[in-house]
Amino acid sequence: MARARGAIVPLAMLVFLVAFPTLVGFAGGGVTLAARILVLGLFGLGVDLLFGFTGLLSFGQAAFYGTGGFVAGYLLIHHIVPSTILALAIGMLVAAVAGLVVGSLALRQVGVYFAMLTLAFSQLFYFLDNSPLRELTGGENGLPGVPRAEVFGIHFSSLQETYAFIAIVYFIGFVVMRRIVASPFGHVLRAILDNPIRAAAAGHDVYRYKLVAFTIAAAYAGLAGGLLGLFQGYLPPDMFTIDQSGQIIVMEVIGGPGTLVGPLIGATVWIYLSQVLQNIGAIGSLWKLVLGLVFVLLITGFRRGIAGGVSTFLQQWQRREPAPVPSE
Amino acid sequence: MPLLEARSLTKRFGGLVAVDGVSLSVEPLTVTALIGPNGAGKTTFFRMLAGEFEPTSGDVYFKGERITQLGVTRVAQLGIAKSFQVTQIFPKLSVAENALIPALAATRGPFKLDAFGAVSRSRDAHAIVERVLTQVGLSERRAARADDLSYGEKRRLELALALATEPEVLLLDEPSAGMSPEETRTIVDLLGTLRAGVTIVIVEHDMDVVFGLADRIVVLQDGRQIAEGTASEIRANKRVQDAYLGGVA
Repeated sequence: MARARGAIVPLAMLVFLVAFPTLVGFAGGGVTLAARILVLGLFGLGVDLLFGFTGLLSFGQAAFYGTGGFVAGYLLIHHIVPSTILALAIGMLVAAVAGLVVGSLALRQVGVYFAMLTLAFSQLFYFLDNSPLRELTGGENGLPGVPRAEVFGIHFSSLQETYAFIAIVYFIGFVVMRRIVASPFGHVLRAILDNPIRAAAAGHDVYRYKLVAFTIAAAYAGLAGGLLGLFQGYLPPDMFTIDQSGQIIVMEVIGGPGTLVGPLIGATVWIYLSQVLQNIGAIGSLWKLVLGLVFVLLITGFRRGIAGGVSTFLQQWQRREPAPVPSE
Repeated sequence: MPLLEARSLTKRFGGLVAVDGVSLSVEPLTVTALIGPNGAGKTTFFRMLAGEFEPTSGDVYFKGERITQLGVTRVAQLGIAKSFQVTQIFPKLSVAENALIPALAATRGPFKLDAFGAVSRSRDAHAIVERVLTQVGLSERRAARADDLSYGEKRRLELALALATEPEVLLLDEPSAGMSPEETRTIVDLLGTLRAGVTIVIVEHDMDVVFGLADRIVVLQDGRQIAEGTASEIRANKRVQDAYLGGVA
């Protein structure tokens, strides 16, 4: 029974992922839009582990998103690695190692100083991408020509098939992350979020737990970066920018930190609003101003993001009307 | 051999000498009380014992091993737990989850990458949670969010968090601070049952608690030790009476 109940959320997610392109279609978007949202949702799963579960605010996650994307893309474009899965895995691994190195230095500080260090490191990565490594990364032109996914002879060549591939990877990433946050390891992370002083006094090595959380988040960012190349066929240098790091934080916060689905909701809201607003003639070039105002309203209105707000509302609604809840 | 020993610990904060060459020797399964007026350096001394502060000079020994620079996490892992004067709980977690965190540290060590493990399988940790919640009388409140507890319940949870690390030495920084007389009585009764299994060092202002529990009493004033002895010796000590007790005893 407990096992059956534990499968409800993954099943619901599976149904959602199958229906998502159609839902996006009803709302006037294409399958590309759905794929882009899933990539950001996967990127955001790592950010949620870091911010929503451990309390670490990093402004440098774009560094790992770009690293994973460019490593996987480069390997595939130049046919150095034949397998899509292997290229994604190497990109993810390189991003994780980068996360381990950056984290081991940045996590020696806490709070604002930690955030500033992550920002500084991501600027370093941006510079590396644009100048010393431009022969490899294409500099400001980016990397074109990333081939579509191919796994065990199965070609994911159309956009729909590419969406399916990304959805499968997202689903695995989601299930794995659910497992991580429910583990004893995940419990210690939540304790660090709630009261790091007490967590250390209880006998937990807070620095090492944070470092592993940071590394996992970097791995998720790297994997998401690799997927972006697969459906876009092109890796833009702005994957490395502060703007990208900031966007994923905003998606996390408006979607709902500590909920896992929050970043997916946040990404949907972000991408929709930016597309819809740009197409309204009266708003036109002011779309970013309006987007900013909407976010201010969302963040002040929902203290725990949209997902947190909905779950609070449901809990209160259940408490007020216990009658319609079916007995078990 | 004493279980816990401090050798002439000194702590300076800039020009201020908070603790000035204080030594302490704690035998196993005894209760030692640290008393003294506000600002005597009791809490600073405690924080050095627990590894929260590094002393400016002097050393701390546990079972004959020097633990001075180990830091709070490793000191906790060795078996020294401290309850905080200002309650340090996990406000957003439930009461049972609160106790589970130190219990996981006791059963898993300072770090373990069991990211795919199941919490329900940590039987030893759950057994500790059950035991300490029963000890402090919070079993009924296990599902409550820690933030929603009353002040007295929070102080008991604070004690439970220290107990759940399964310590050999329990450092208690004013466990009865701000409690009503009845709540204080519960704490004293609890410490009376705990003392059979754990060595206790306690900082306390309530003299009834101190004289009722302590085998030995150490008196601090302005960062220095001015007296040490049994309850009756301390009561009779003229210097202590002048400095602190003010004719109460």
